Amino acid sequence: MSLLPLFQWAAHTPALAVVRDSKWGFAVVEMVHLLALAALGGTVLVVDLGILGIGFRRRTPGRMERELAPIFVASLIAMVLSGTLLVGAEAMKCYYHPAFRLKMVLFAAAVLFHFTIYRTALGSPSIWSKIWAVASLTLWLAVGLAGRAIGFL
Amino acid sequence: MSLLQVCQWLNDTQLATAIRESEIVFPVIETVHVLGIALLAGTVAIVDLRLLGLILKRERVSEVAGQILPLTWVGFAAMLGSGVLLFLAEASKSYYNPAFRFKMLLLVIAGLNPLIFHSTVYRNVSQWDDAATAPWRARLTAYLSLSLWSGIIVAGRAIAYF
Repeated sequence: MSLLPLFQWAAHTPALAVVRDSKWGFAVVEMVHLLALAALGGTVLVVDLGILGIGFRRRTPGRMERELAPIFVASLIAMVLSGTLLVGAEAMKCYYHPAFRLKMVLFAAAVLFHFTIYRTALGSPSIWSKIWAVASLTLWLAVGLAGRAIGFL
Repeated sequence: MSLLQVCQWLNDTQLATAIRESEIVFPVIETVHVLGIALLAGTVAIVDLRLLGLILKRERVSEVAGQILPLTWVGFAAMLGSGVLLFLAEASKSYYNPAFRFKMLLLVIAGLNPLIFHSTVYRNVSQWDDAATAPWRARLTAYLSLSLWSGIIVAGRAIAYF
């Protein structure tokens, strides 16, 4: 099944006219997307750098992650919702955009990784927890880079 | 020399021209600036939320602040360095940009906020270090900080729209 009809629908539906046709509608959603990025990136950085022994390392990474999980989940939801609106505003540009496609693959990988393998990095410290922390940092950074590239490629 | 003339002079320096005219340098610096937000504003928010008693309640305030602060400074250095370069490339335009002016104002206030906090209520942190919720003056600082940094991100994004 192709996703093309979905993107074609998004490009024409009146429901998305607010973000599609209004400069400030789009700008406001972009701002929300950026604010959520600060919160999401902040939690990822603090937990992962903690696993690597940089910054917050007094407590076990697992406890730190549990404490920050509400911020992570809330900002993830905010990013997905605002991101969906942004895609809706530029549906056809995004559909054919290589950076957008790459970002979606990386994003799916990052989320899947976060809720599976990454969990093992939060237990007792080992060389593997450090490897997973670096993998997590790399994946989220790549999502961000690909996202920024949508704007100027 | 007026501030406008300084901006125009900066705008015409070789460095500024090189950044402005390169197809790749400007977006790369912009990307560093955007990703630096996470390190700077994200870590600031974690300390603010601790002061408000919303996260890390069982950790001491001084421990959370002390351990996260180095990361915040790294983020600050990345933001300042990339921000100065972005400004140079568009110095003349920035001078007249209302969103840029507003952002600079918010940055000054956001800088004063922790200075006041550290020289007043934070001096007695040992008295409320273990408390889940900090005293009202510390909470006020946290609310201000969250609002100011959010405002800085929003104003920063708005620069492109003027």
